[in-house]
Amino acid sequence: MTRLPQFIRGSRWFWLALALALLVAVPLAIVGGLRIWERLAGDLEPGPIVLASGTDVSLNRQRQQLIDKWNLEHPANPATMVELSQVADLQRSQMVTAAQQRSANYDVLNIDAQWTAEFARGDLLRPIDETRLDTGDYLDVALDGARYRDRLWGVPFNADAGLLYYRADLLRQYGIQPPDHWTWRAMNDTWVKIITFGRPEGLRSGIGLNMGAYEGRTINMLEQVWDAGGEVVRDPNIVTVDTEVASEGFRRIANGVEGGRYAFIDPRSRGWAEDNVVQSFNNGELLFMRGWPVAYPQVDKALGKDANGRSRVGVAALPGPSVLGGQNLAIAAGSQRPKAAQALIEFLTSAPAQRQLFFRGGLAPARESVLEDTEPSQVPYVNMLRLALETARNRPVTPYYPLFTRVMQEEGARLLSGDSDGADTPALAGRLKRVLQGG
Amino acid sequence: MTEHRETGRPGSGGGSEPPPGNPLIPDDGEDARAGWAQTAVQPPPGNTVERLPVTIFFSVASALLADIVAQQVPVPWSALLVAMAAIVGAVGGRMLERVIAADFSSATARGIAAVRSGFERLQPLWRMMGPIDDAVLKLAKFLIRPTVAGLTAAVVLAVLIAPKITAMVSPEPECAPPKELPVLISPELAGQIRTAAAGFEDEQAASSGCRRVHVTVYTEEKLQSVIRALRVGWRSDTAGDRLSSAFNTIGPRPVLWIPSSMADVQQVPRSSGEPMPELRPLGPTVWSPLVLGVPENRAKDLDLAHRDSMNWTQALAALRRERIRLVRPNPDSSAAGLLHTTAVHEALNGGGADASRARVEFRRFEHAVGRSPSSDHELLCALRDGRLPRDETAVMVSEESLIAYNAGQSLGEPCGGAPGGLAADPKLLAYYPESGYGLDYPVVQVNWPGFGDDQTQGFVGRLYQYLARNVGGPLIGSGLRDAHGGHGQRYPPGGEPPTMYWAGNEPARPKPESVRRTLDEVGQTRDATRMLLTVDTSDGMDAEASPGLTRLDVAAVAAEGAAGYLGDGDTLGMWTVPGTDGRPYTDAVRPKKLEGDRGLDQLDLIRQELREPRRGARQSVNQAIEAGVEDLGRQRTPGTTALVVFTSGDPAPDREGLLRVRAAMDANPDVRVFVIAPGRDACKAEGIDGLARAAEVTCHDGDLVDVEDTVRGVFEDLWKVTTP
Repeated sequence: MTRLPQFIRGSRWFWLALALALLVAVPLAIVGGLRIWERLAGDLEPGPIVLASGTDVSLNRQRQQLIDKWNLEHPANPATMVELSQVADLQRSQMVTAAQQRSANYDVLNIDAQWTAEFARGDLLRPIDETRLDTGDYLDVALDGARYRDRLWGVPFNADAGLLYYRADLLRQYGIQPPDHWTWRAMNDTWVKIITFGRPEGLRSGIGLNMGAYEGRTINMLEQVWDAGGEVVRDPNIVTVDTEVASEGFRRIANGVEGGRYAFIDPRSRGWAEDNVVQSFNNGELLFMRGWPVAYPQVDKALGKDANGRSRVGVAALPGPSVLGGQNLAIAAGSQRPKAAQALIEFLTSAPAQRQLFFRGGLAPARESVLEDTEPSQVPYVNMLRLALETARNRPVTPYYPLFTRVMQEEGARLLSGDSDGADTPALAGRLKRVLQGG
Repeated sequence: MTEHRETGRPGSGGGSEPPPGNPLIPDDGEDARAGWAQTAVQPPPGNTVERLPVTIFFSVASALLADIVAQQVPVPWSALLVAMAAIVGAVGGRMLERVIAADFSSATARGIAAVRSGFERLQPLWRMMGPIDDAVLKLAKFLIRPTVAGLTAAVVLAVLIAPKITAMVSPEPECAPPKELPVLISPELAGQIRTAAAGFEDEQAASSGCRRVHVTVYTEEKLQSVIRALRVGWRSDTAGDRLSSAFNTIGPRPVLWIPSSMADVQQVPRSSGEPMPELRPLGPTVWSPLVLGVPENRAKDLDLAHRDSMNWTQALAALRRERIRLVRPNPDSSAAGLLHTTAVHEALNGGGADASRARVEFRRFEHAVGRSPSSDHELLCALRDGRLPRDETAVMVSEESLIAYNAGQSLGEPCGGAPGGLAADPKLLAYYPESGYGLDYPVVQVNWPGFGDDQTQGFVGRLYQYLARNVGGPLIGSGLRDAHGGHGQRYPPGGEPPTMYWAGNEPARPKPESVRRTLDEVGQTRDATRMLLTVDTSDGMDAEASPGLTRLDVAAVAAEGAAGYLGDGDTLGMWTVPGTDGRPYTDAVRPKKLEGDRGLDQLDLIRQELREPRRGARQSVNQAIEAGVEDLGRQRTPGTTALVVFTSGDPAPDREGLLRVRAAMDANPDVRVFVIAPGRDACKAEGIDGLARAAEVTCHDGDLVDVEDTVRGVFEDLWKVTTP
């Protein structure tokens, strides 16, 4: 029989310590073990899951096809997709109203990234259980947009960034070599050069911007300020729009729409959404356009090739950083099946699903691996997308984003109508400060 | 204990001095105390047992904190992190215990000694302090090292997870996000109500400094779409509604509805219980009388200005005499069109006129004005951009719309301001016929059965009160009158209506039964339409027609839009291709006459079928067209008969097939055939081009953006209505 060492046999401290250790360690081990088991076993609450989303604009309804696939693999948790308005503000309004009035049983919400903070602050979401999610593959900027107060409230579903499209055929025709990196000045100069030497038939304006009275107007204003070297809001929600460089960004808009038929920015931009800009560019009315990567196949097809078989469309990065577009999938606070909801989110944001949505549906992925693995032969505009995403930035992460964007849009309306020359940024700063405090 | 005090008391002069560096260490005493003291100064080898509680405490604390961190990392890393923290805690505990506890305990002892030396000057007191001192020493000895070690561990790990702790303990932003109020309004009021809603939000925020309510204002031009959505509870929140759910086509469920007129509200079928909401009119907001707008340069010809009064009978006669074309918005979709028509209808029936003569006159009027466009804004937009001859057209619109037109202001989303923002030329003069009506833009609270909350109801009530209080502000800035009919009216520059005759300020509203009678008679005056929709649902419709939408998706939207043109008295059915039961078509929805709720049910059936169509391999539609023309031709009923085919033309019909279609159409000349091809330039597809040339079928094409225009083009052609 092995004898215990002397220091154990004779020590009451040892036994006291052992008892204390067991007292703490055993419950800890049980709790920890159960948690790890729960995570690994992943027993989902049975029952249907409802996903609320904007209209499925993916080609051939790839999102629905993924839902169908989920349903085959998870018969205990059949998922259905409720398609809300195509208009982002109306999607948001329905989702918020449904949660506040408990008028709908949504489990998963597909929300625009900029709303995440509002939904989180308003207790409309449950946080994502990050222990179940490998976040390493998601684009950092997209994940940042899904975080609020250091918790993850959504999983990036798709990510997007704006591009500069231009009429490469007209540049060739006028002997203009496109620069490696376009600047706003270079774009203006190109426009002036072309109209000076004789405006091609049908060409109406230098650039078309989606600056209708909706989120697109805010996006363009942020991008102009960023490109001019300014900031509208700096982390953490400090308003810095009252600077000369920020004013410069706004002045570009105010000055751009002036000049009648020589205006660089098409005055119709004040009422345009993305579709209108693309349509006008396709009709040969614009020299440049700001567009999302998904527009590439459409404009390339519409404008076709020149006599030498070269595309009439050139694509480049925007002069400055692009606003990051995209959506996050989040768990509704009222969901009775949060684990199943997160499982559906993980399924829809998995690399295979993102690949399917990208390759077949035209929705840009939020996973780096999918972007890296994709060849131009699979998605012709993938290189441009990578280019745009490299510098893309989030809009201000604030629970008061709807107010922020409204104030920005109102300021944009003044710029576009000639009521403001962009110089009155202190007044705008005052309004934004109040807004970012929730007032 | 006494001996401890006596021997260990530094500076007492009565015993030996404590070892250097640790004045608390006694020169004798119990084993445990001695061991503890020796450990603190110079730990003897193998004497770890006494330190074990410290080490265990430290490791457990480390593990617990690590577990907090582990909540945010994936499972494998979580387990590893906890295990590593426990090991680090054990080792670190031992090291820190040796280094820190010794120093700390000596510092504590020095502190106690200093205090005690002060007390020593008071010997009597000091004697009393003896037991206290001993107790303090015991307590310090027992607690210091584990406490110091544990706290050190906690501090070290807290630094590591500081950002998360900061996020957890820092206060939330003071203001909670605001309550959401979706408000559905008449398109004419979009700009004004948005401005007013922003003012309301500001007012509600003024007292607390926090934005308490957020109003989302949105519009729907088609009144019938709103009525249908209300009737079905805006659609249940289940899947499958795709492109036809009101959530998708209109927007969120409104808590407030501001239509153009109470006449719109009265058209919603009355029902109790789910799924229909309770509609509770709260009151009017503003007033805009309905006017007859006449080009300024033609007013003199009409010779109406000098009259003491003018009624519709006289106005219609004058317009006919001067060959000025009168255009009216569609009464099915426009409150302005409906109330104008009601006024005309009452005028033609009034004064003891012969009933049959009045009916003839009314029919004459109906045929003159047609049924398009769908709103007065759309009508004026057509006038502004020259689709209607500006010098030869009189319009039945609201005063507010006429003012906006004259001032060159925006006429809603699809029709921005006049080029250069210039005032209209020629301007329209406003005539106010006797017994005319106006638009009262009532605020209607929408109470949905089964949900809602007091806070929302409270905000709805306050929003109405705000609108009622502020009609003198933004709402009437563009030419609207206050709810009482004319005070405080302001006009935009260039928008003043040169009133030729003003019948009175008192707002007048028609009786509900009068409006219903007018709608009935409008229905009777136009020929009933018998329409068969034939939708190609085969694989040939899978190609993309609009970004993200297949041809079938666009065809479904177009087919539903076409169905929406029909109303009471019309007959509607739907076939799909490929066929079943040996026929070249599937009889998806049997033709049925649309009457009241039955009509709405038939439209629902068609929508349902379009949501989940029967799919199949490609099949040419020519046989279905042939069968459809013959079927419609057999049922000889008065009115207009049309076959509307939605197809991509893939595969193209062969020559024989085309000839058979041609023969069927020749044999049934009263049956009109239209093809709607989803996608831009889709009419150029070989299959459709062949049909158009061989069988003289009319083709219309367009993607989702154009779909409304495409469908409207078919009906304008079919009904030969006024085409702006």
